[in-house]
Amino acid sequence: MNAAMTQDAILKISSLQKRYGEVNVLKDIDISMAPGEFLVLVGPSGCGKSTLLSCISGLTDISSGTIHIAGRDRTNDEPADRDIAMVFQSYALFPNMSVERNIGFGLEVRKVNEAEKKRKVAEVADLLKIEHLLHRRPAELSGGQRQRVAMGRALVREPKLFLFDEPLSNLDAKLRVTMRTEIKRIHQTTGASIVYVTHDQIEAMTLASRIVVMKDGVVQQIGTPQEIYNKPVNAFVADFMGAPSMNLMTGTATREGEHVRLQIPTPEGPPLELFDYGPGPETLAAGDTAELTIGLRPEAMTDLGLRSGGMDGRTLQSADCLLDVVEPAGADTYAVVQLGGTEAVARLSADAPVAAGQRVPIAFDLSKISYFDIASGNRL
Amino acid sequence: MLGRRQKREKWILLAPALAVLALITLIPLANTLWLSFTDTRISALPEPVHFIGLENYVYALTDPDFQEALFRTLYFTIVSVGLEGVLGVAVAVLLNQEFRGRTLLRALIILPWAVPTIVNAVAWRLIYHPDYGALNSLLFQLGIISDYRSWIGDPATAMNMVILADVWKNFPLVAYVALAALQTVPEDLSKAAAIEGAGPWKRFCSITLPWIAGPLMVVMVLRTIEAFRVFDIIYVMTGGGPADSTKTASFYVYQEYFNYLRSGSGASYAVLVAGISAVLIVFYYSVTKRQTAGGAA
Repeated sequence: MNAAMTQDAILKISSLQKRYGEVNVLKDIDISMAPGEFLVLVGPSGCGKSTLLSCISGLTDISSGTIHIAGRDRTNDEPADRDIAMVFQSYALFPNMSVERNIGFGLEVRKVNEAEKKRKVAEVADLLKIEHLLHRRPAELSGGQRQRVAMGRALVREPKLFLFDEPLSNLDAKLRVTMRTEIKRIHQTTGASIVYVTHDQIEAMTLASRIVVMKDGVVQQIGTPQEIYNKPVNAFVADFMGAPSMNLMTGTATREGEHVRLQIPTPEGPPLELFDYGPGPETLAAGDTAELTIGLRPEAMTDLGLRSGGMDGRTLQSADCLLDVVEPAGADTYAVVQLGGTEAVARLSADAPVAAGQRVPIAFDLSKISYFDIASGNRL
Repeated sequence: MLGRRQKREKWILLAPALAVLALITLIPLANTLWLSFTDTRISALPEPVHFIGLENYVYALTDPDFQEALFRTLYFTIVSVGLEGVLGVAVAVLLNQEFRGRTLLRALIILPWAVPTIVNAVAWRLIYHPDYGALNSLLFQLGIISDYRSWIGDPATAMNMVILADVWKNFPLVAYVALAALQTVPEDLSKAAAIEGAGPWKRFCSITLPWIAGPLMVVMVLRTIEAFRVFDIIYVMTGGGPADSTKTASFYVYQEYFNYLRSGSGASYAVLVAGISAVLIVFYYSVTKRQTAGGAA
C-alpha cells in the first residue's frame, strides 16, 4: 500500500487517541505520510479533523499514541520544536506588524541575521507575488492577500511539514478556486509535505495526493482521490465524497451464472432490472439473493442512450426511468429519479431534450457500481 | 442639512444642558481665570480687588515651593500610574487564565476600586499606624524590621506609602480594562506565534500587548489625569506632611486658597496645574491615536 516506512515517513501517527473527559474525539488514528505528499483530512464538522491537525501541531496534547515527524518522536515536543508551520483559517496575521515582519516573525524569533531574513522574505514574497505588499499592515490587505501572507509566513522557515487548517474557508467562492490552484502550484514547485484540513470534498479531491476521510473521530478510509471516489469503503464515504453525492439505492441482488441480477424498486411499477457482469458483491454466493445498498454515481447514470442509442448491454445498460425533477445546471442537467427508496440523481448532458414527467431511457454504467451492506454500510 | 427651523429647535433643546454646563463649568472657569489676574483674598470684609496682570503667575513660576510640589506630583503620578499599569496588566493576564474560582476572583478584585477614596485612605492610615499598624506587625514578625516605624510620619517614606495605598485602590480599574481587552485577543494569534517559535514572554510583548494597547492607553490617560490632580487621599492620610513631603500641586492650591486665603494667587496655581494636565492629555491623546491607527484590524 501507500503507507511509508517509519524511517522514511515525514509524518507517522500511531494509535493516537484524544479524549476530553469521557468523550473520545479521536479514536486509534494511524496515518503514515511520505515526504512530498499532500494529505487532506476531510470530513463533516465535528469529525475530529481539526483536532487531529492541532494534535500534530502540538497545540493540543494527545491522550495516548505517538507522533513522529521526519523520523523523530515529537509526541511531547512543544509546537515550536516540531519543525512545522501552520496556516490558520483566520490567517492569524499579527495586526500590529507589517507584512514583512509577519512573514519574518519566525526567523526573528529564531534570531536569524537581518540580511538572511530579508533575503528569505523577499524570496517567499516573490514566489507568492506579494512583494508590493511587504510594507502594508494586515488590515490593509484583501482576504486573498492575507491568505498569501499567511502562507508566506509558513513557507519562509522551510519546515519539514506544513499544516493547513481550512485555509480557504473565509474566502468567497471565486477566490477560493484561485487560491486552491495557487496552493497546488506551490506544492508542485516546492515539493513540500502538507497536511490539509477541509470540510470541502471538492477541495480534498482537487488538492490531495491522498485523502483521509474521517467521521466521529475515526478514520474511514485513506486513499488516493481516485480510490476514495471509485471504491469508497463504506456508504458514508460514498455519500460524503462527490457532488452530487453517490446515489445509494436499496435493492436486491441475485447471482445467476455469469451475472448478478439487480432489482431496484420504483414507485410507479415494476422494479428496474440491471445485470452486473462484473464480480458483483463478493459475499454473494451463486443462486443467493440478498438485499443491499447499490451505489451509482450520477455520472454513471446518463443520457448516453438518448444520444447514441449504442448500448453494449454489458457495462452500459439502458432502462426507462420516470424523471421526477429536472435541474439544468449549466454544464450538465441533473434529473431526479425515484429509485430504490431514494431520490437518485442522473447526470445528463446540458442539451438533453428532457422534461419532468417524461419516461426517458437512462444509460447505467455498471462498471462504476458499488455495493454496501445495508446494516453496517460497509463495502461488499 | 438642517433647516433654519430645525437649527433653532436644536438650540432650544440644547439650551438647558448648556445652561447647566455654563453654570457649573464655564462660569467657575472664567471666574478662576479672572481671579488669577487679581490680588483677591478670601475675607469676611469686602476688600478692594486690583487687577495685577501676570504678577501671580510670575510669582508662582518662580516659587521654589510650588516647583517642588509640581515635581512631587509628577513623581506621584509616574510611580503610581506606572505601578498600576504593570500590576493591572499582570493581574489581568492571571485572571484571563482558566482556573477554578476564576469568576469569584474576578468579582473580588474590583473591591478596592469600589471603596471610597476617603475610606481607603483611613484604612491605610491604620495599616501604617506607628504603634498598632498591620504593616509594622507583619514586617516585624517576618523579621524584616526590628522596630516599629512611623511609615507616613517619616518624610523619607511618606510619599511612597501614599503611592502604595493609591495603587492598591486603583490597579483594579486597569486590570478590568486590560482583562476585557485580553478577552478579545484571538486565540489563533497566540497559537500562530507559538508555532513560529515565540515563547510566552515574546508572545506577550509582540502579540498581546500591542493588541490591548488601545484600551490600555485610555485607562492610563484617565488614571494619569486623576493622579495628577491627587488631593483627597493625601488630605486624609498625611495632610501634605510630614515636612511637606507629600504636598502635591493640588494640595498646594488648596492651601493657598483655604489656608492662606489668597484666592487670586491660588487661582493662578490652579490654572497652571490645569494647563499641565492639558499638556499630558494632548500628549496621551496623540500616542493613543497613533496606536489605534496601526493597531487592531
